Amino acid sequence: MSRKTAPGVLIGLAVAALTALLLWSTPLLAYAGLGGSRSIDLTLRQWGYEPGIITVQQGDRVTLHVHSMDVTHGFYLDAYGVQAVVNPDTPETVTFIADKPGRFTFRCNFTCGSFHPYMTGWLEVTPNRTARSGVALAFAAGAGFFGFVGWEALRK
Amino acid sequence: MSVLQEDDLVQLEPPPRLGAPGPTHNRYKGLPEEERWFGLVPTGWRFNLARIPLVRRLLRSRWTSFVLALTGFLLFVPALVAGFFGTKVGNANLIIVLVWIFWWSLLMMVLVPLASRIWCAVCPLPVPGEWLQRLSFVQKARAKALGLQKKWPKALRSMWPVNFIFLGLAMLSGILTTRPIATAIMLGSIIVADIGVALVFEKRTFCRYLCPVGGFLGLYSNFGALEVRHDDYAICRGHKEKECVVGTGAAYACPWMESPTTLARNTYCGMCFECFRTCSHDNMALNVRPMGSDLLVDSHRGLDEAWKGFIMLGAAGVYSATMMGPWAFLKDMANMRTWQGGLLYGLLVGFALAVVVPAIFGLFTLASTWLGGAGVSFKRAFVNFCYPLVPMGLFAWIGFSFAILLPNVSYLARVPSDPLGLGWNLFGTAQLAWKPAFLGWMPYLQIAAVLLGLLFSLDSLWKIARQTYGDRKLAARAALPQVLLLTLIGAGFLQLFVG
Repeated sequence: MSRKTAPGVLIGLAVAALTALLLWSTPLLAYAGLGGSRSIDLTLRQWGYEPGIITVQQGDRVTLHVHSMDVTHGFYLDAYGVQAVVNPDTPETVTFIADKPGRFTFRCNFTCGSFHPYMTGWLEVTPNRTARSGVALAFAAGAGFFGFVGWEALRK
Repeated sequence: MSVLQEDDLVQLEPPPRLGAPGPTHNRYKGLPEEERWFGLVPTGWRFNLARIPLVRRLLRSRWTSFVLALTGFLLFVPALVAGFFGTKVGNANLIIVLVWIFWWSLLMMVLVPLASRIWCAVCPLPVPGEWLQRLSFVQKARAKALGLQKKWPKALRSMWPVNFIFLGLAMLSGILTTRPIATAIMLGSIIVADIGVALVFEKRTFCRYLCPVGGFLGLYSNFGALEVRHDDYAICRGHKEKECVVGTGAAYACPWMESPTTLARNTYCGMCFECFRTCSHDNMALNVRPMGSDLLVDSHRGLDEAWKGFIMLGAAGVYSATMMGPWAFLKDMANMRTWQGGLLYGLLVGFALAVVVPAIFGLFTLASTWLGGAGVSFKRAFVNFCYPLVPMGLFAWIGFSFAILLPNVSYLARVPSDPLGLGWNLFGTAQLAWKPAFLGWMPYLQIAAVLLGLLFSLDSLWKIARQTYGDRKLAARAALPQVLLLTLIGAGFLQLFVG
């Protein structure tokens, strides 16, 4: 690192650290879910879920009442590993504790037709530290670089 | 068939010692020679793999290209048969599993970042056309090449034709990636078109100017960590015969119509290694280099490549939302549940990729030119600043590819036993249960991919800004809006993948 670039780099690093610290310490990132019970109806059809996005709190005991409107479908929740095969007219119940925060894809794991691999939905378990950390880091990198080139732009 | 014969090799001079310095001229106009990636790795660092005797021997042998092409072709033929005659269920058909799960993931996650355009050395699609054109499988034919050998029209010598072809295919992505027959028709059409072009035009005209995959491979391989270049610049400068351009009795002139002696970027180098066979001075190098290298080459940049970058970046976002998102209405449209929905989806995708993404980029570039002063035109800033989008785009595709590969990886073991979905069990794996791999790791892998892409983009932006503006202060001012844009794009992909 040359003497010419050193101040800019240091400013950039300082701005990046401050940004990360601010985002990590904000109340939005710090709060914890209280936990509870959630009962949700989930409808499956070629090739989507209704609702497509399910939001629960970390610690919730989640019960999904899953039923298919057309053909046999599957339900597989990434990271949690819970799964079910759902025949038409035979609803299934899937229960799990939402102990992992973040956003997880649930997907059909029973071949149900041409668009089967893309039959997906999202389970959002708040607080979503995983995503927020990534976004915080991205903004920290951007802010740090902004600080660096900003210093380069303003210095005499 | 013998694998290697002495006759296949041009007589070689003793190889230079390992680690010897390569070309000494500065590759990156406008940047100091001591420039480093992330302040650590010198941008000019290279390691010539061809200095390893075995690698050099393989690169100079005509059999290497033949064996690679034949392997690709023999793997591809059963897939094409499965596409035309096998089950309609995509994930039970070899062509869908081989092309859209295995090949696509391999290409984006491994081949392009680590080995640039090496896929073109294995690609089976131009093989029939090239064999027919040359009337030879391995050695250079003595007979004149078959066909009219015309030159491609000057007006079409750019990435624009490929942009339009890719855009057309992108609009049909939902169908192409799920219906075996659609994939088979697409790939079969490419083979037929390539044969037709090979019989009318010279060399690898189709690969260079018309292949829908070649366009983004060309652009993204500028980021890749492998390059074919001359070794010692002085030797090429003093060599008047230019065998790599005109060919020899034993080897062809560059099939990609490049001049290997002055090659500065990977865009149109198909890594066929023909120049290793023509060069009587044994002066070609296969260099490992820092990722991102060719993004800094300030020549041959153009709007056609800029648009290719926009299309690829936008497509990564659109496909992630459609195929991995929770919105059933988008899936219905992409899957053409109704023809009106399918048409609307195609038009919206085309409009988003070809107009909306460039327009947003244009607004940020307008701010850059305003802040950077009048010394640099809007067009030059627009073209140059689009290259930092390349790492972001490539790593966004890597993030997307994780979501394709990890849930579907078990099909790679299952489908070869029953490639047509007819109830066979050739290798005893046809009954394997669906089993995803490392899905718990996927968010972290996707976050890592996006952050890595963002960092490469920001670093290349700073270098390109200084190249473009010359003055460090003006460059910094002009870079500010682009830093903001890249950060927003990175955050957007994170939101889409794991948000």
